[in-house]
Amino acid sequence: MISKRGTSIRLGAFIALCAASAAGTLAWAVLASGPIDWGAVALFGVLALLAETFAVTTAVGSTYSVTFVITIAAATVMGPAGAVIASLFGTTGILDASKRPPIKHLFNASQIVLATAAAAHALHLIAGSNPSFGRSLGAVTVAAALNFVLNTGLVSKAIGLSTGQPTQAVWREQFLGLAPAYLAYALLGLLLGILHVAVGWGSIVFFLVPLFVARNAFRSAIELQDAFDRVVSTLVAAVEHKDPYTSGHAERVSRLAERVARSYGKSPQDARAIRYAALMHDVGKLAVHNAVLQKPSSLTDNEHQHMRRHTEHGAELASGIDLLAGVLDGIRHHHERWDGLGYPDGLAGEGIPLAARIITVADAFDAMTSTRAYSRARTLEEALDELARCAGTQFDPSAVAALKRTIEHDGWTLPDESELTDEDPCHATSHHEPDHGHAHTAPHLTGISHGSR
Amino acid sequence: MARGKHLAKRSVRLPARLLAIGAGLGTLAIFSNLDPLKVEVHGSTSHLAVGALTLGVLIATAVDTLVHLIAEPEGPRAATIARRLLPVHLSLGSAAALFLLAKPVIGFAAYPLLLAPLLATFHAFRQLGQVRRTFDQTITSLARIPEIAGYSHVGHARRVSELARATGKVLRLSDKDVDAVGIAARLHDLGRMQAQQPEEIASLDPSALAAGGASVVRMSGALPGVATIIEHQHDRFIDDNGRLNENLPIGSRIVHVASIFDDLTATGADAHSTEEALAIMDRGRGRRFDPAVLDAFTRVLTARGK
Repeated sequence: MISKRGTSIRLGAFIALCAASAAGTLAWAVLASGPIDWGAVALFGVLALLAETFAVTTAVGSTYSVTFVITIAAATVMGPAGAVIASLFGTTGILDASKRPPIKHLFNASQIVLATAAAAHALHLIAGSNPSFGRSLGAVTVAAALNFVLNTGLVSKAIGLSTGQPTQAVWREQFLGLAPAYLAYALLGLLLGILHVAVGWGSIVFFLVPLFVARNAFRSAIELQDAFDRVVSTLVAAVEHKDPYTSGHAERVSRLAERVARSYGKSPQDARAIRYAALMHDVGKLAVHNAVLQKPSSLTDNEHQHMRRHTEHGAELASGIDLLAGVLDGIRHHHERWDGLGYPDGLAGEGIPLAARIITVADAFDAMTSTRAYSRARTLEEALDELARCAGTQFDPSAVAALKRTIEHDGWTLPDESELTDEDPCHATSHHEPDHGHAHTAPHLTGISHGSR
Repeated sequence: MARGKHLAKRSVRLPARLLAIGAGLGTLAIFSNLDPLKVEVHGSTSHLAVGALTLGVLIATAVDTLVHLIAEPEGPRAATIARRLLPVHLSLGSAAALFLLAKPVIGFAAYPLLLAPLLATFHAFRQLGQVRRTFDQTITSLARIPEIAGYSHVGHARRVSELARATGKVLRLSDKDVDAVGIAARLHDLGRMQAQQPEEIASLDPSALAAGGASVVRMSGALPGVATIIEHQHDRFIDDNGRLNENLPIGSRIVHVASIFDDLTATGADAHSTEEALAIMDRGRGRRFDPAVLDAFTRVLTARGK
């Protein structure tokens, strides 16, 4: 394991290297080029600045910004030196827009200068001074690829160094999907450059209006997405308010289920869907009567039936939301058992959707390792042993194995005692026997009749 | 922020859009020396008639808005529609202008390449539409929780929401406020979930239940204004001391009337007719209910032929 100190030294050295290379590139670009058209530099510099100022950042941190369009246009019009200087203007927009520490500004400005310089030089070298349209297209494709590799590669490396994640994994998960956008932006930039040369700067205004409109629509979409996420977390909070044994449970299960899904080789999109399903797996409890959900003594058969319907209720609630269409199975079947004795449909083995099998195991693991009113938390090892013991009867053996791998590989922080103390004290009494608590608190080998909820 | 789905059904949107684009291009052709259909620039080519283009965009927006208004008179008002359609036509107009400028310079390459900024816009709007839909569906799902659990009658929230929205419109509330009333009406029974079981509701204080529901909605932070409407849904127009409850939100007064009407008319065998229900409610006129809201509500029912 790398110490914190070692990490920051390596990160500092990396940023210093980037900054030095960028300064060298900048000096070389300015000194080696011919006379610079400062009017055009100012125009594209201002455009780059505007593009960065109006950039839209999503909740997950990726950014919609058309700066690269401007950079390629600048390179088409002025060649590498002008483009690099104009892109440097753009980075001052980042400086104003956020309150990040100066070291991050330095790194961002450096990586943008390096990526722009590489793209602009490639464009210049391949296209030559008076290129055909076809040749320009080829040149701009290479330029986009270079910019993409340098831009996302350097940022991934920096994230990797500061968080300790492997650089390649960061790059694959966060940036690989952006490649088509870089190509599209580069093509737009080429077009803008050609128009600027042929028609004049008025064309730029017409060009940027649709992009600006798109940007506003993206921003509204992100705000609404944010509102949706807040409504979902309110639902989860409402469940945990009704069922006070489960504070923080859904959030932990969703994190764990996503990682297990990833270790199954699921795509990031599929893993995210499973994460949503895991987050909402108990949402049907909202429709369970409090008299049953919060009953401190044993449930009658009727009450058990009512309690069990939370799986169907949850799926029914989620079924009205198109976005959650892919996660219904995970919610409906998270109480099925590998041996077919679970509910609501008594599915067995591979007949149970994988998402549900993963959630079942993650759900049981978290239930065992967090302190409930009626039982102390078990240690990580005890919980894994218990899962292994019930693999093949209650749980899918491969899902148990995947969870074990995930926890051994990435580690797992057990919930803090303080997170779990907001239980209703009147429920924390000894008459709360474990066997009518959550089924998975003490996995039952004898079948569902043994009082599992 | 507008929370609705699309402004209108697809069968309205597409013809409206095409008609509008036609009108815009026509304007451009008449008032400038450009022929958009042949992509030829007659006479002076050095400048584009920016005025004609602006006019084209405005006329296209107006035509689009008008078709929406005619096709769906119950939809949002003109200003709201126009505000949401203007960016679309601004993008289309800009793309048209750019196309006209670029065609002579880069030839046929202009066709595919100039679609690019429009595609970005299209993609963004599609995403926005999808998220809008998701948000709306989430509210609908939330509203179904008390119904699934047997804490309120199936369909009650939807019916109350429709009546409340219509009443809000008759009272000339802004589109934003109408949306808030509609959402509040959908979620107004959420607080009943605090009861131990459905049978217990009758014995609990309705205001306390409403306050609980409001606190859940408020906690989400996603629906400004809605929580307050829910919180005061049972408050009287004139309080027990005979004082006018001036701070009672208009949304709460509307939900109060619509909800009680649906309770009276929809409950199984002992359901009242519309006339009976209105007669019963009229006894609370100016005491429990705001007379202006009651009048508007009656007009909504009359307009619907109930």
